Amino acid sequence: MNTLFNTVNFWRYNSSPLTQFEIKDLISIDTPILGNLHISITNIGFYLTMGAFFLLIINLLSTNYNKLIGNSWSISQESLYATLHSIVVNQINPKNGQIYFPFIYALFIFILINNLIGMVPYSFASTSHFVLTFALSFTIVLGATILGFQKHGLEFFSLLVPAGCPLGLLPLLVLIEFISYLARNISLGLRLAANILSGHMLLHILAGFTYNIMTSGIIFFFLGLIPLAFIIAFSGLELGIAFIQAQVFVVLTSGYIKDALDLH
Amino acid sequence: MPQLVPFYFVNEITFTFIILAITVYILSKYILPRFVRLFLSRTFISKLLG
Amino acid sequence: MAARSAALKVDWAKITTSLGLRGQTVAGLQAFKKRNDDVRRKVQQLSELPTTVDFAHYRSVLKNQAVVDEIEKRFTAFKPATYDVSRQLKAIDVFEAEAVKNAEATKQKVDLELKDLEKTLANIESARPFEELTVDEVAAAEPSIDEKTAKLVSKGRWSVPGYKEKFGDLSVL
Repeated sequence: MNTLFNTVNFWRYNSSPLTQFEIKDLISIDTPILGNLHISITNIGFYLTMGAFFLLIINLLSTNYNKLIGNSWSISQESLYATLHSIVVNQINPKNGQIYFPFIYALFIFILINNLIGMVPYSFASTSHFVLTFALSFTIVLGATILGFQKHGLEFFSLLVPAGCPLGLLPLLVLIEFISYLARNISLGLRLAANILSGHMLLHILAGFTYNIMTSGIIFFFLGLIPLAFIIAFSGLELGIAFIQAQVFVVLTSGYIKDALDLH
Repeated sequence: MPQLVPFYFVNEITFTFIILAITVYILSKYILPRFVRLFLSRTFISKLLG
Repeated sequence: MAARSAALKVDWAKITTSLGLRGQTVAGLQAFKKRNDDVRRKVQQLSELPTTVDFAHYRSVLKNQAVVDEIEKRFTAFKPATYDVSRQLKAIDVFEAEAVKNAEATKQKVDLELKDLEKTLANIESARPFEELTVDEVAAAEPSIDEKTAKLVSKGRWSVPGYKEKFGDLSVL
């Protein structure tokens, strides 16, 4: 109770734009037997689970009772299916690339739902956490590399040699290619988290600013409607970013898988 | 930045991977095949109608 | 004269109306009736003609007795030819039985067909609209859909060949 009170006070009087991303325990168990593990359900864990439930419920409900002819709900699901399928087919491989379709679909839905949950006021944007997105991006690039080695063996290193490069420049180019290959790890996760993080911080700062204006007088209240309109417009923009970032993440993931499958 | 405090990193990543793995499993086993089934029955029906 | 009495008993007008006959059948029936009537009239006329010849008169008038004798002999020898119609009648009876049997069979067949058509009609009338059709019902009617789904999914194919060409691509990109 005391911690809750402290949290509320902290929110009210000391709200930095970053406090919204803090991870807190909701329920936790200390286990002295199992090597002092601190097992806990945190707010991010709660919201991730909620996202998974949303995904499940949406897919269970928007089927139009399994009818052949869809209504707008099931058609939106079909549209999502077709869109991601076209991404997979275009980016990876029209025939054999389709094996990765469920993974790409799950990744897209996971990122999209967590982006959208973050857009709900007073909720939590899980994808703004660098740890989460880096964990995803490192795993994806590592997985693609393993896939490449499994498929091509040591020939996979030819990925680092650009086609038709002069022999003298080879060491330099290989080094550059290698760095750019490693940079994929960072860039993929950084892009997603930075976009979501900056958007939420921007909205938070603008909101605090507008709140201060609107509470300082009757005239300022009406004056504050202008920045409020900006906030609403930015929210719409953030909504678009939520979709675009999920799509970009998935397209790049498909591109990396394709690089591992087909050597140029 | 609070999201760089490493205390809950393991917790966060554990949740992420467990949920992502469950999502991939449920999608590929139950949800996505339903779309394929829907498409197949639509093509079948339209072949029936000529 | 059994055939004659049977022909008299037939009510021709009733045949056409009760059987609901039309066109060529009616024309044929009428032609048959006309032929029957004509033949009957002819028989009547012929049977009313006198059949005795006064040979004594001819013998007294004509000189040539031999010719008269000859004619008389021929005349007394003449007997109206009788036709044995029992075989034809039997054939007609057989034919009639066959026809009746055929008609019964046809009636039964038509009845069955009618019942079938009525069932189909009821089926059509009680059918739900196409919008209500579910994937499960289609899959129950055509088990190969489930097999194909399992095959495509296990091979890692998530698109149905020919689907996009027919139903369009819903992809937003």
